[in-house]
Amino acid sequence: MRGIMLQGTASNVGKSAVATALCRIFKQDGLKVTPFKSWNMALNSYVTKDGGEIGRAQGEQAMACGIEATVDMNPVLVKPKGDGEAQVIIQGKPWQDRKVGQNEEEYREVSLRAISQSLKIIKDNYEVVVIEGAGSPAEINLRDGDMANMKTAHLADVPVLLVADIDRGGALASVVGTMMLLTPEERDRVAGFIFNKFRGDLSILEPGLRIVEERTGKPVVGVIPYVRGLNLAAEDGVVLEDFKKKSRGSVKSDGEINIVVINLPHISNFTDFDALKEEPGVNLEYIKSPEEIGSPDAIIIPGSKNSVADLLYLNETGFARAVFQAAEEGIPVAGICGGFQMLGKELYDPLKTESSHGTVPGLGLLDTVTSFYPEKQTCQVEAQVEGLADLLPSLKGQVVFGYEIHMGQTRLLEGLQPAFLIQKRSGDSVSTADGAVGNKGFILGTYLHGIFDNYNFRKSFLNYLYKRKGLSSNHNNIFTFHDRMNQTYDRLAGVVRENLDMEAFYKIMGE
Amino acid sequence: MTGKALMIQGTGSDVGKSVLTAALCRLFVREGYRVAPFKAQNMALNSFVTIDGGEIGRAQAVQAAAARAEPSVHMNPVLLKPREDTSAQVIVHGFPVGNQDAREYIKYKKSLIPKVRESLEYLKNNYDLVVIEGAGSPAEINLREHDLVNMATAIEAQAPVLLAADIDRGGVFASVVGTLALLEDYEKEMIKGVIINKFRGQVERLRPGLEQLEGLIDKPVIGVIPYFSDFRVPEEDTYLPREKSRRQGGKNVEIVVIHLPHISNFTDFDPLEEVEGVYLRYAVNPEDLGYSDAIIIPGSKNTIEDLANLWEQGWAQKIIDFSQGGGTVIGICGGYQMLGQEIVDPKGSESKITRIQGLGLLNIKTEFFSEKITCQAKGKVIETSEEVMGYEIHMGKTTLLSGSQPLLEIKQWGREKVNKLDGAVRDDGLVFGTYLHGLFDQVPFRIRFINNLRNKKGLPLLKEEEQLSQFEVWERSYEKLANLVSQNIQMDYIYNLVFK
Repeated sequence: MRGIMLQGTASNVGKSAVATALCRIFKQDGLKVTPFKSWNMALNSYVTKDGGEIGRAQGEQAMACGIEATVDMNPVLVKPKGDGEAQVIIQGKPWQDRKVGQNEEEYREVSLRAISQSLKIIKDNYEVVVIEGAGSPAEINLRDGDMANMKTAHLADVPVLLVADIDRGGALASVVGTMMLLTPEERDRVAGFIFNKFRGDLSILEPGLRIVEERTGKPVVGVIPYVRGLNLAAEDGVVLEDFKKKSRGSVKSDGEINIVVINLPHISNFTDFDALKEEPGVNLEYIKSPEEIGSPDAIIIPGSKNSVADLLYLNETGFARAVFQAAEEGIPVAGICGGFQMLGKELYDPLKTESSHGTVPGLGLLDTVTSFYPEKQTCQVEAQVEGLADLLPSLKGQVVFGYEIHMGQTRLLEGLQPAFLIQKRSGDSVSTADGAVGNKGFILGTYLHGIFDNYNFRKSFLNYLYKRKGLSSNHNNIFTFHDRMNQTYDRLAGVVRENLDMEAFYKIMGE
Repeated sequence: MTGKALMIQGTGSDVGKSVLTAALCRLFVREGYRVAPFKAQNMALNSFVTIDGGEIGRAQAVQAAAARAEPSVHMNPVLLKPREDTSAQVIVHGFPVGNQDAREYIKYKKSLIPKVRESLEYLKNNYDLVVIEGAGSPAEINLREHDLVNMATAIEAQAPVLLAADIDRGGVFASVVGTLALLEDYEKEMIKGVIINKFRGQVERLRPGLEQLEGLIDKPVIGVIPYFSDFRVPEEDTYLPREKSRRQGGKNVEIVVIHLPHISNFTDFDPLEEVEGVYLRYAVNPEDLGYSDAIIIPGSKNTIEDLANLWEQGWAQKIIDFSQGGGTVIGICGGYQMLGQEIVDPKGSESKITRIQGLGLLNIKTEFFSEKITCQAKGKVIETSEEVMGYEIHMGKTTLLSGSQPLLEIKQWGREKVNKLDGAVRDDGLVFGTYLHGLFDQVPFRIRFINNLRNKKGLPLLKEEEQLSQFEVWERSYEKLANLVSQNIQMDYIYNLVFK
């Protein structure tokens, strides 16, 4: 099997986007291609058909390859929980929670075994693999522990292209510096460089590229222009932070409908809201303090890596009261996964799986009680609209798709309607209630991640908000999320193909 | 007696040079030195006007305030204001010399060396210490021979250089090692230490890495500055407004600023964002207007094109409808001109369009002349006598037609006493405009404006005495910043470097 690995001079240089583009390019060229990232630290995960959890980016890259995502595409996933603790997921299943530096040896052994195994499965099933690294391969303080970069390149025995972000300045130096800090064998693996996010006059840059080539003895195989408005899934909290803090490329303007998402300290799966954010006229904002709530058209409490700690946070900061009050005023409130649990009467954690607290009172907007058990539910689901049809009648009898990742079980107290009826879990027929719908106003809770990716649900939800505000909705032309993503992949692939020396590139991979 | 110099360069953009420079300015001022900031060349849309009417980058004005020094054109002798994707207006010693694209500018740059030198000499003669900020990375080897702002400045000023690197993004070791590797020996010599910026975590865990780094580059790491995000003053190269403002207070007053294609001087609205209960947002498309209590049309780098765009996009009609429905509409500078009956540009100084219809919300008319006015201005609001101060940057002259009243009385232009009128306000007060940038900086006018909007909505009024002036907001930021940096950097080492 042939393959290529993309490593970066830093985080956020665009490795994932270039990897996604290459996935689509190989697919276009008629090859059986798969993405791979051995080790991933991410808050946003993706659930495979058989219920395994992997990084969101690999899930997306699989879509770009036109194949179903499997756990082997990302055998080690580390989900930070806060305070230096993280949940380690091996080949889709939770292995253990560990603190940084804790039982290092065992962690490494288990991880490397999984990586080798998954690589073998991938080699047996695909013609080409596009591998993505993590961060920079030249962190001299972390070198021994780094499995994601050169270690993986070695195991997979593929050439490496080093990606640098030229938009931030200092790209030439970071490429030369990265090469200097690698060992001779590692340096030999690097086949060339890609400069990403370039804007300006290429002829001015060229002399600099020639010097880099001379200094390192490796070719520059591509200069990729800055591509605006790609809307690929974000991997981790850093990106969310950055997106909010400053937008250098483009400014997303505000909308007719304002939705606030509470930026929980342990927020997870915030890609749930990407499809909403993309809708014209919708302004989606992540807020960090109750003063920022204002008078929005809807409030969403997202998923959390630590529901108990985040619920305590909501109670302590006054967020809980503010959301309760907003709901009393009739502002629609939706809770997804951890957010659903928090909307209830209480969270009960007898085994203290989530934190050191036994019982924590919830917001009390839904008559539910959630208990935590160490077993984790992760699966793709198909569900039929139940009680939700009381709020959004046009959804009556309709089917939605999503995925579950949670440890808790939520019990509905008397008189409360479930939102959905799950009909399939990982392809198996079941009949299980999910979520809950409040008895007054618009309170919706559900375990289903990806619920807003459903065209029918998103449309009904937004139409409801428009109507409530007395505005006429022009949301009959809401795009379908998957079509839009497919177009994005094609566009991205087109840009990369045009600016990458494809001949040199195929040669590097060994034709 | 000539002053000393110290320079901060970075391994890339956004590593925090600008903020570190402001912090060092304040730390030396605290020790009793007379300090001036300096950046040879700046690229920014938000400029500041000095008392002599020259334009400089806003970051240098902010640093001057941190240094408690009067901003001068010598603190930023070359300012580039981007126009389109590749061309920029070039401002030298405060005044425009023309528009150039990247290639033209590279050729022209050589002639700027004496200008930069002159400014440096001026500052050194008048201050004990000049704290210099570089731009981007000094290791952009393709641009080395045209360098004006990094090592060329350091050598000219004989300034020891501290290299700042951002650890938050990863790859920090490689970027420091690579930067030094790409410099010539005489340049490398100038670098006296490394500052690691934006660090989150425990320094002890980082220590072994830092020691290795020091061994590799043979330079000391003299500071590890923790990540901090609440520095509330304008940043160096903010080309675009922040995406979102913070939402404050339970009940909002919503203000929409139209995000014109050539928007400029949007720092005008920062003070409004500081007011409790105000939600300020930028809207690109008319569909994004949504609910708002007031619309602001900001300044523009190209007023006529932006006005044409308002008409084409359907913005114009939306604004007119909004005004007819009783909404408040404000225009600043270019936005003020757009509110009138028409704008005439007989010589086509801004674009090919020589005449364009305005929104007609104010009975005024604007004509463009090639002469550009840039000056600080002080005055008062005619109706209420509230003091205002700010600055003007424009080429047009606006005439008030029948039925419109002037908004301001300007008493001082730079150092000069004047007696002139500015701006216009409609009888009912719901539409007004002015050339004065910084109109909202002073508390009384700002609060009355917000209270008028609150009053209309039946919200309780804000108390004026609880508000901070923009100056006070900045002052608090400098103090906090200086404290943080001094606790995490070897100041003794820096003193020795500069004053030994």
